[in-house]
Amino acid sequence: MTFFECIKMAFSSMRMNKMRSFLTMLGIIIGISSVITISTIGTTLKKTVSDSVLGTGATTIDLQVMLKDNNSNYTRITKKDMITEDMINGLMEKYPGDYELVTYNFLSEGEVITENNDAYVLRIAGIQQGYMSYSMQKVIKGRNISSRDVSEKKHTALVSEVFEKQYSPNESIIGKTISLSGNYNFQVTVVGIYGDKKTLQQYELGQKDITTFIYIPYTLSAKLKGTPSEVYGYVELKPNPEKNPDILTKQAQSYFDKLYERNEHAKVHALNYGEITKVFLTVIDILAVAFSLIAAISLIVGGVGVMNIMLVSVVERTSEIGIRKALGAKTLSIKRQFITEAVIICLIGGTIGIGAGLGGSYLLGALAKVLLNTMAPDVAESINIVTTPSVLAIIISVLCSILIGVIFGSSPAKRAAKMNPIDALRFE
Amino acid sequence: MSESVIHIDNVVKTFNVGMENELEILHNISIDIKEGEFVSVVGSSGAGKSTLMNIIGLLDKPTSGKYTLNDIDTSNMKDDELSEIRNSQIGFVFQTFNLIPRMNALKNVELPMMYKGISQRERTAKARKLLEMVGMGNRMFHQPNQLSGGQKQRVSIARAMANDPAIILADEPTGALDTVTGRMIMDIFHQLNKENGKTIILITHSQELAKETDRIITISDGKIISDKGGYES
Repeated sequence: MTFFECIKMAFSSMRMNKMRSFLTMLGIIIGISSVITISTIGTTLKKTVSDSVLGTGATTIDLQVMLKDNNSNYTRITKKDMITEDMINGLMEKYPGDYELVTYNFLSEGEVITENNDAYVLRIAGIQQGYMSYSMQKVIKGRNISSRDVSEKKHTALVSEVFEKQYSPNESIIGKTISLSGNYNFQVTVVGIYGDKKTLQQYELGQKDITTFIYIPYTLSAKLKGTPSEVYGYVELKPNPEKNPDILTKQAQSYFDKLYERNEHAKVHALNYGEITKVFLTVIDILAVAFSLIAAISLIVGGVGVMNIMLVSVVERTSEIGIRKALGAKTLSIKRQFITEAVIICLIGGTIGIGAGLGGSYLLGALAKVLLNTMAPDVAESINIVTTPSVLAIIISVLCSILIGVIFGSSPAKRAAKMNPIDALRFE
Repeated sequence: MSESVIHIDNVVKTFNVGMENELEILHNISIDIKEGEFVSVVGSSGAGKSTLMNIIGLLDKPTSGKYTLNDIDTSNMKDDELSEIRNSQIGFVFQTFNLIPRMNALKNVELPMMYKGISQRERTAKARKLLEMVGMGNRMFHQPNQLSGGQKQRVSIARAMANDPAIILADEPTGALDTVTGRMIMDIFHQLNKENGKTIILITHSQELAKETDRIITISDGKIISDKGGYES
């Protein structure tokens, strides 16, 4: 008996009992579809997270000064253990283009008199050129703070769209020099404008007195503060996006390891967000697998259902088995016939289950999008949910269906094959 | 004269061996059937003729004694080896036809050939020829439940002939049929015996049918009480 004949026979016996075959499949359908849905939620979550955190270039390398593990006498990090600007400049010179410094120092609030003679409050922050892209803000007019602005401590500034509208509603603010007063009194020339949707919305709603940031070179803010040579306990670096952040992290780590070799109690630890994200993604993976396994319990229940029906089927077809054996069917061909039938029931159930699971996942994905748009509209734009079915889960599901058919079909099949032809023929 | 196809030597069949209700159905039966013989086995119900037929058909094993079929000793054969012999050497015709439902006449006739591993094309051709031979050429694609008793029995005779077996074992083949169709079936058996030279063993309780055969073996209480030539009347 060929394989194809086994399959034909299995379909013909399933046609005999359509309702029963479907109910048997239902257990498998539910099991497989829940496994597929849960694993798809897992992969989708993973892809969404990695796309929104890693994909936007928000990866940074964090340098942190910490105590060396082996020394218990010193429990405090002192100023001489800190990372100096020279160290950072050394790193940048040694590996040109690999890193950008992300700096943000809040200076104070300052008052500006607008062209209409209104008093207006701004928050002053010293930044470095990499900060804007790091904090996902866009320069929409003019230019960013440049590295020359930073190194030469130039009196340049970035202001918000809203501030421009308030300061000089009719003409561009770029190129104008504005005076700030308060704790620090100084003048800066506006070189660029950054977009700020949220405050712009507030402004358009009629809220006039909105405090926004004015960004100046961090070297300028340090000079104003009177601490020309900065030391840091914590530094953020933006790695070259075209290079592997892990390699750049290790490179920075070994650079600082060398510098801190002779420091008895402190060291610098380099860590990139990618690593943290990876840990997070692994957690998602583990959770998805764990929940899939819980869903897989229903597959076992489905398998028991298949076994039950196959046993009934064997009893029902006792005389058929007898005839087949009398006509020369061997043990193996009877066994094969019943196992094929069980496998086909499971495989059809599995296929329907995969379809239902995928359909359910896409539905859930659409639902998540709608929920996100209504509940958190301001982040919805930056989060792109793309339902990503797990190919591995689909392959495993198909294999699982076959396996369940073989496992739960083999005991009824063995029973059928072992029948004595004479007893089977006599059976009415 | 011709060679012996079936050689049964001192066969005993006991049911429920070793239990309280142990029952010996066949007592030391010895039969020799030659090639081309048309033999009938008669006896009242409970005489043991069905048990004997099951042993001859290799559906059941004797408790003791020796059964040689075509010079092959079948005593120590495994189940699958017995299946193989049934498949190629014995054609069964049952009282209740035993066709497989939801398979048409053609497929039913193909079944023994399928288990023998003959190709689809070859066995369809052969099955068509056999069905035409028994006069069922125009009903090849009917399901068993669309056929009358006589038609079903003709299909099962075609099936019994599928692998060109040496012997045909017919267990009350006309038992479920009326006289006219029963006659037709008997005519087919005569034809197979005369023209195709098949050895036919007919199990029946009817003396009339037995008288048509070459040799009548009468069984009573598990013993052979007479073994003589037919065509007496």
